[in-house]
Amino acid sequence: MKKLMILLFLALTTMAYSQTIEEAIQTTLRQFNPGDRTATMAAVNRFDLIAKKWNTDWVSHYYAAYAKTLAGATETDMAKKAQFFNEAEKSLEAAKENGADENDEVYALLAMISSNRIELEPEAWQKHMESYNANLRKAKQLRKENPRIYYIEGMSKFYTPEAYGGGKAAALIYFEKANEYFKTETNTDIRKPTWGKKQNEEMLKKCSE
Amino acid sequence: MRLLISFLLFIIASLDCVSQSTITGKITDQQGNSLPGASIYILNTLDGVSANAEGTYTLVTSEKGNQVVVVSSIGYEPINQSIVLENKTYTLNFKLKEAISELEEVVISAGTIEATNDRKVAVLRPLDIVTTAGAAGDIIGAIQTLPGTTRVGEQTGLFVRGGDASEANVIIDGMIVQNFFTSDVPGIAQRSRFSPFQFKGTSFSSGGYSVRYGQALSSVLELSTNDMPAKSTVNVGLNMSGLFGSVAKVFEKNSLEVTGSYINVAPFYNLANTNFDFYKAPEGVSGSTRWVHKNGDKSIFKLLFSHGGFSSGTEIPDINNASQRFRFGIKNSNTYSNASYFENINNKVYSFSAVSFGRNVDNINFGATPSKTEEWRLQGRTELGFEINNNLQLLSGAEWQRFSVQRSFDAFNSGFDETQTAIYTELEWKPSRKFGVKSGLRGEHSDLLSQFALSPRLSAAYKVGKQSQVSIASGVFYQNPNNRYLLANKSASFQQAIHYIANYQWITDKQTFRVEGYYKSYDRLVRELNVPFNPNAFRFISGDIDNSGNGFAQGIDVFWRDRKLVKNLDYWISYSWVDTQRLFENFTARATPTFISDHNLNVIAKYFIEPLKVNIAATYTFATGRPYYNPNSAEFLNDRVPHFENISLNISYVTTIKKVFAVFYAGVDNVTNRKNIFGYRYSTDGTQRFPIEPALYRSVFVGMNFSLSAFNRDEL
Repeated sequence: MKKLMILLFLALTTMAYSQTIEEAIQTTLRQFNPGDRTATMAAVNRFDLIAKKWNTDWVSHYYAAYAKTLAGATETDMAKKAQFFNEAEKSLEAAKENGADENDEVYALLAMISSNRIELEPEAWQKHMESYNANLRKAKQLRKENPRIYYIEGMSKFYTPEAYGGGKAAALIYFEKANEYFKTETNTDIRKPTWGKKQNEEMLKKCSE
Repeated sequence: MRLLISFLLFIIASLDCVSQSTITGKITDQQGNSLPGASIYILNTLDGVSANAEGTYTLVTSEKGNQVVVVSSIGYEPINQSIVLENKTYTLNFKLKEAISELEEVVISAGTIEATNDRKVAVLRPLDIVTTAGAAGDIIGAIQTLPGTTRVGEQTGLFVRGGDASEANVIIDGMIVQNFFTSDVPGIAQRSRFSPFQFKGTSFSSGGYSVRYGQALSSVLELSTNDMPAKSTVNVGLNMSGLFGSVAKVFEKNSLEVTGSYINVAPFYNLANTNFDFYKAPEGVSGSTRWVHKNGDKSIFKLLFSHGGFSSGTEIPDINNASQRFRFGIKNSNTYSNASYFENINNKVYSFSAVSFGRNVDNINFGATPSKTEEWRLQGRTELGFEINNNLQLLSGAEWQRFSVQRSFDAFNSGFDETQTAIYTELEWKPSRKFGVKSGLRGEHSDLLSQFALSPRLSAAYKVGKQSQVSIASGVFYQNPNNRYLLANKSASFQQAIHYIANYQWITDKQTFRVEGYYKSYDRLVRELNVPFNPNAFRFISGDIDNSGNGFAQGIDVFWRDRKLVKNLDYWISYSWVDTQRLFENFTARATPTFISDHNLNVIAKYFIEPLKVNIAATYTFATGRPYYNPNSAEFLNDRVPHFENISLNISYVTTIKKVFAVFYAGVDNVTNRKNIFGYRYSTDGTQRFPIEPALYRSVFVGMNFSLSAFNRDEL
């Protein structure tokens, strides 16, 4: 009886107070739905809190950046869009400073932000293109099996006009390549991000139409 | 045991529900609009929620005692509010203030129009310059459509706000370019030697420029070369005046570019009706190589070397005998190199250093008389920028230049060597996001004139609205006497100009309105003593000179650009009015110089036909008639030629063939074939006059460009 009570006590207090970073991130990721603005903002805010609490763990900053990038991509107000990307880049900077300086996922996400910025400020494409290429190169160097690299490349091709070497056909080969690598990913460790699989499948469909 | 159980139950119960506080309320902006998605949390905890679509929230927390509630929303200043939580329900409404973004920060900009990609909102982008119709892909052609400039069709150079071409300096990566333009052929305005695609930024100052530069009474055109190319590419171009090719290879932190070109203007001149007879069409070969090393945002090193030459033969109106023509042959060789290094030493300090060397040799046949001009310039600059604190920035630097001009005309030799040194410092103070002041001091010394001068400069800007600001600028500027006098071994001291500029600017990402008024006073201008007026720019200087000249220039420049009105249409209108008079050189009275048009208007429009992938551009230029010298007129320089008018059209088509990105373009200059006249030249006895005509009336230009981005096999 005594033992049981103590266990019960421990279980309850743990629930209330000692949620781990893994659980906190997993829970937030499960509730994250990029299609729903309110849910997206809730996730952005939640990941920010997680990043404040576990601020010496790169992965907290990584997910904060991830949520802000998607929030920026789906935002319609141009000025706010840029602010989301600025904030996302700041989070990735914090991730780098806390042990992810040589993490391919950080560079892949940075490339994704640059590619979004090209769309946002087409006049400054040269500058953003340079950083897009440099980040992708770095990500590939670190781990070329990262499927998000090819998903991001595919997206960039998809939204480039055909006159400038983009289009569906050009994008398809990248999505196919990404798909191969997505198949090998398992969703068990938050330190090994797995996002992008579903989106990639949708893009594959769009390109094959 | 029972006691223990009830104790535990009490704890559990209290954890679970009893000891909780609820904070609820609404989050809005200053105007009362709800802010969905705003974040509300208790500082240093995981207790936080987001505002719903109506901007309301309910935050339940088990925290107690003194806590801080933080409210934030992207684009707004966060609020921190202290609260004492005592297991109750609290209602807290918040009104957030909009954060001032980089967009809204004041930019000290009087006197300067920038075309840049580095700033979010800019008056122009580099690409806008390249695609301006009538500019023929020449950077100066495009600058000449901006307010404050006058297009002077028969003379080479940049004429800004009452200043002549020698009063404007062109700078590349911090270094003065002595021979920016192709060597002069009398009566024909020349293009710049540099391709506009080389530059990522163009900053055109029509007055009141920074202490970094001197030796220009009116204007500085500052060009910054590209950083690393985005991709490895092979590029080939072909047009009516030649062919060119370039290869760029990008390594991880380095890039190497090599270019080569062959120019032969014969096909172009054959198709157009030239007013001058080219017995030898301009023909030339040139090449360049560039290496860039970039270490992230920390540092960048650029090294450029280019060499080229051309020759041409033109029958031009005889300078000494207005009714006759004579043969002007030129063989040119030009070398230019520039190395620059920029480093962010830490987040408070940066350094910039550059060296450059340029050499230009012109072998000229002036009719039957051989002439040779040999010039070179070696220069260096080093500067440091410090961020003293958040609103105080200090820039200090030093500049050294040595240059030489040697000329022979038949058996007559002349020349000079000059060494100029300058030190400068500038303090930028931005006490708030709305207000900024830059004040600087430049000390410069000339060995040739044995003279030292101090130039103070000041500029300030105040943000009057979210998108609008007013700014002012003023400064003192010095310049050596024109090379013409130094070559004749005549000595005088620095000439001086003082600028006063006031500017209002309203700018959004799609529209820009800018109006600028200025007054300039010229003092200590060089005058030739006791000589009659002679319009010949190549006249022999025999008499004495002094610094007794003076003058003024005042005017208003207006610029309006709109990309909002019609989708895919971008147009801008620039208008300048200038009122200027001078007593200088061999003027016999204070008068408006011959390179001035009182009113200048440029209308530029570009339209992209999306389904066809075709770009159409048009430029309309109007300028009131310029003064000309009529020896029979009682009043000096009182006659005016008819007004100048020109319409140019450009069309370009972009496509991708396999992996090759292709651009096809065609342009027509002076569509209406209008016979513009730049002035008149009189026979020695003054009885006959001959119009000064442009080299071409209507002309057609076509070309194409192909580029292939290296497709890396490892990419897939």
